[in-house]
Formats: sequence, C-alpha cells, structure tokens
Amino acid sequence: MKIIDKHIKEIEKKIRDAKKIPEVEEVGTVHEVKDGVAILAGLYNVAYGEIIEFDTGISGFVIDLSEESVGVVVLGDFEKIKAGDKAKSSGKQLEISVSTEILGRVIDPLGRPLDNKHAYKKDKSYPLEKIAPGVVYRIQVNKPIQTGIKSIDALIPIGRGQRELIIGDRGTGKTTLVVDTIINQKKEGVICIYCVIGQKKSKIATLIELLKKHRALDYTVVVSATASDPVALQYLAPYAACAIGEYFLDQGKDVLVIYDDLTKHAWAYRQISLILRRPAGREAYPGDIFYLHSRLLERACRLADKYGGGSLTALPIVETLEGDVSAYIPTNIISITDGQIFLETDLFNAGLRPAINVGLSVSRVGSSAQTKAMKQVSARLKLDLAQYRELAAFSQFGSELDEETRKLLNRGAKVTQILKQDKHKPYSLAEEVSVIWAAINGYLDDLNLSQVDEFEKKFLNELTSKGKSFLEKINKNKNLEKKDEDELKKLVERTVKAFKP
Amino acid sequence: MSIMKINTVTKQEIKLFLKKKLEDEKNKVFVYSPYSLSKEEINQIFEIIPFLKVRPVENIIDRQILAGIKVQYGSKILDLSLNARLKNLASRLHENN
Repeated sequence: MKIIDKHIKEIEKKIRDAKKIPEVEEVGTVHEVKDGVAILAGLYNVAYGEIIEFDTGISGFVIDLSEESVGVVVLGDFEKIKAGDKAKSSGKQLEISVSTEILGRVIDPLGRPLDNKHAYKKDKSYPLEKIAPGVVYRIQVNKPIQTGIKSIDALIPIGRGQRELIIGDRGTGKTTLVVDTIINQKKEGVICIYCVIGQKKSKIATLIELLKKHRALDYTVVVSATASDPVALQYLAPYAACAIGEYFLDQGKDVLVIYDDLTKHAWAYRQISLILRRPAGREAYPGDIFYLHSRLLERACRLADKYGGGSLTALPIVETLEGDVSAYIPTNIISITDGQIFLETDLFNAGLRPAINVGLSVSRVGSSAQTKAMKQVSARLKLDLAQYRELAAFSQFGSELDEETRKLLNRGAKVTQILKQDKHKPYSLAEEVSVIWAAINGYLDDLNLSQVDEFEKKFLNELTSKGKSFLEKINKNKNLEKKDEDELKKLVERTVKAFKP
Repeated sequence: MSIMKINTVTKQEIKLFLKKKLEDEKNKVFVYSPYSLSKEEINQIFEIIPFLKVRPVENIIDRQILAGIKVQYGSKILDLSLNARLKNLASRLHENN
C-alpha cells in the first residue's frame, strides 16, 4: 500500500506543479508529408529553427518558411504523420539539455538515452546552433593533445583548440585512430565526445564495448545518429555534439569532439535540401554545403583565460572514394581545418599501420603544440624521413649505391618501422620520446628490419621495469635535459646488449 | 479535345477574389465550444481579450472538447478546453514513467 501512496502523492504533486496559466499557442495543419519533411499550413508566427510538436508526440523543427507554408523536418518516424494532423510550436529553438551526468552515456541528438538507462539529469540547455566565439575571445593553440600514436605526436602534432581532418578511403584506420586518441585521454583530463553520423549500428556497438574495455567511457559521450535513423537526426548530430562540448568548454575544461563522419552528414543535408526543392549545385549538393561545415568547425577554439580558458578540439573524419581528395566535400573541409592526416590504402596494405602518408599530411599548428621533449627528437626524425623519401626510389638498386646513400636508406627504413604501431595500444609521452630517441641516435641501424619490433618491445619492457622513475619524470616535466639523455642512453645500451648476446 | 485558355484578366480577378477570401478567413475569430454559445457569452469572452472584439466571429460546435472553449485567431490558438488539459496530463504522466 505504501508504494501506491507514494506514487499517488507524486502524481498529485505533478498536477499541482502544472502551469495554471493558459498559454496562446501557435498551431498549424499538415498538408503534405514527404520523405522526412512535412509541409504545414498555419504557423504564421514561427521563426527559423523553432521546434514544432505534432499531436502524435513526434517533434520536428522549422527549416523552410515560405509565403503560404512552413517546411518542418521531422525528428522521428515521419510515416506516422498524415495530412490533416495538427501541430503546434513550442516557442523554443533547437537545444539539448546537458549536465555532468551525460558523461558515459550514449544519446541521440535530442538528448534521449540509447543505452537502456534512465534519462540523465538536466543542468542547462545549450542551443544547437551558435555563432562561434569571436577573435577577441581566442588565444594561440600551444598545448598538445597527446594521441598516443608516435607518428602523429612527433610529425603531425595536434594542439588543444585545433581542427585536424582525418581523411582516407574506407578501411584505412580512421576510426581506429580516433578511438586510440580517446583511449589515451584517460590521464589527460580531456573530455571526449564521439559523434556518429550515418554509421552502422554494429560498428557503434563494437566501439562502445571497446571503450568500456579500456575504461574510456567514463569521460566520453557518444552522440549517435546511425544510418537507419531519420535523416534529420543525422543532420543535427554534429551540432548536438558541439553543443555538449561547449557546455564543458564554458566550465574551462578541454574537450575533444570527433565527427565520424562528415561525408555522411553532407549526404543527409543534401537529402533534406533536395526534398525541399532547393536548387541543386555541384554533385547535387545545395549551395550552402560549405557553410554547413564551416559553422560547425569554427566553434572549435581555445579560449583566453579571461573567458574561461577551456578548449574545444575538433577531429572531423571524411571518407574519400578511391583516394580522391579533390572531390567536393573533401576539398571544402580541407580548406576549413587547420591541417589533415592522410591515410592511404596502399600503405595500409603494405603493412604500414597507422597508414599515415607523412609527406602529404600536415598540421598547421605544428611544433608550437609540442612539448619540449618531443620537439627535440622530432626535428631529427623529420630530417631522416625527408631524406629517406627523396632517396626511396633508389632503394631498388641495393648494393650498387654508395655508402652514404645506403646509410640514409637504412636509417629511413628503421625509422619508418619504429613509427608503426599496433592498434589500441597508445604510448605515453615519455615512451614515445624514448623510442624515437633510440631510433634517431642510430641504435637500430645495426639491427635487421625484422628485429626492430622485438627490440621495441624489449626496450619498452626495460623502461617500464627499470626506468619507471625516468618515465614519470619525463611525463611530468615534458622536457629532455642532458642528464635525462644520459640515463636514456644507459637504458638503450642495456637493451641492445641483452638483445645481441 | 480543345485546350481552354483562361482570359488573363479573368485569371487575375479570380486570384484577387481568392486572396481576399483567404484574408477574410485569416481575420476571423473562431470560437470552438461543446454547445452553441449565445451572444452574451461570446461578448463575455471578448471582454477579456479586447483585441478580438472588432473581428468577425464564428462559433463552431465541437463535442470533442468536453468542456471549456478554444479561441483561434489566424494560427494562434488559446486552448482552454478540458480535452486539452487531460491530454496534457496524460502526456506528462507518461513521460514520468
């Protein structure tokens, strides 16, 4: 009896709390229902982007305002809406409720939970569409995001507040790369938001299991709009992810937002625009396809301390077809972002994983977003790799080359081998610096190419067992002084001795 | 089969006529009630909303409302019917569970 009493009391409280003042509502009637879009008559006083509620319980938002009708994108099952249905305006623009309880959850772009748990508590409502922070609010990007992947942290460093595009064909390791970055943020205090647009549900399920396994879900939010979700949700997903990121940004935290992927986002927007009979441009994309992505990516920033001091880093992913980076959407996003990481199928199939083409990849923030320790080793690394690339064509001649060329080719091959990395095994800063230091100082030159992997494993074992304090010191100071180099030299030489008895 | 051509002048006149009819509809105030209201009752409503006094009024009978009235002007509607309040309550209880 007591439980029923409690429920009755709750219901009474709800009835009492209900607003007594009747409100004037804006209503309209559905005239047409197209694939994902409903055309309504009435609603004479709605604004662009306002949320409309159909009387069947489904909501939508205004995307088209013409003289006699209003076009509303349906955020749900549009098949349940028929002509003649009534709808009313909520008076609110598109927004998502956020709080710290959102961490670890899987939600849809409207904030509804998808992980079979209760709805999270609401602290604030953040608008999905927002003008990016102005020039005055920003400062220079000079703190790194440690991805844990050697080739990125050394050669294409990403800073907090930067936008770095990850571009490649299907199956080249784009998602694996970002998942490894998320896993590596465990001790960095960076909040990660993974936005899924138009992907397979099975892929998301595997991804969430992987994040749970590495205990990365505690500081991650997954915003999901998979391929079978309504196209309007796929259109809104990146903006919802950015809005959640801005909630944490306003608290002075560092946020990493990943958009996987923006190609499917462009397809969703193209579908909506074509249904609304907007003029089709190149490749049938609407005229504002650039603005679609530029207004999203411009919201990534590093705020000055006066305005909170947080940062929002964006890692958009774009899938190319047959490596064509000069297609419409890739070129658009390349011109918006502060650099790109090219992943190539040829390199992937040849066993170089992560399949990053170091020559074509660039980070426009560059070494200003690197720690001192990394800067010291990456300068020589870049030189070795550049010389190797130049002479790569000559490697076919084998023994007919002179000593100098052979040395450079050998060094380049070893360095390339050391930059390979297994998936889901991110390195800490100290481990990266140590391994690269060993490579550029010639300790690998005398080994066979096939022995480099084993040497690396033994070296890392040595570091974690006997060099623990050394690793902690480098991770803390982020600098490689003379005595650190001496200690590192001792550790490397010990590994070399144990390797070649 | 012959194709009928509409005189352009006639076409324009029809367009203007229809537009005026639409304007008239938009300008009307619709009062939905479960039973037909007398003039005094309608006047009582408009005492509270003086803005609507000068507009033409049409009283539509809708038993679905159960009790109360709905006042509609253009696309704005003031829903004071019992039906709407019950629906509101039902949806709020539903989302709680």
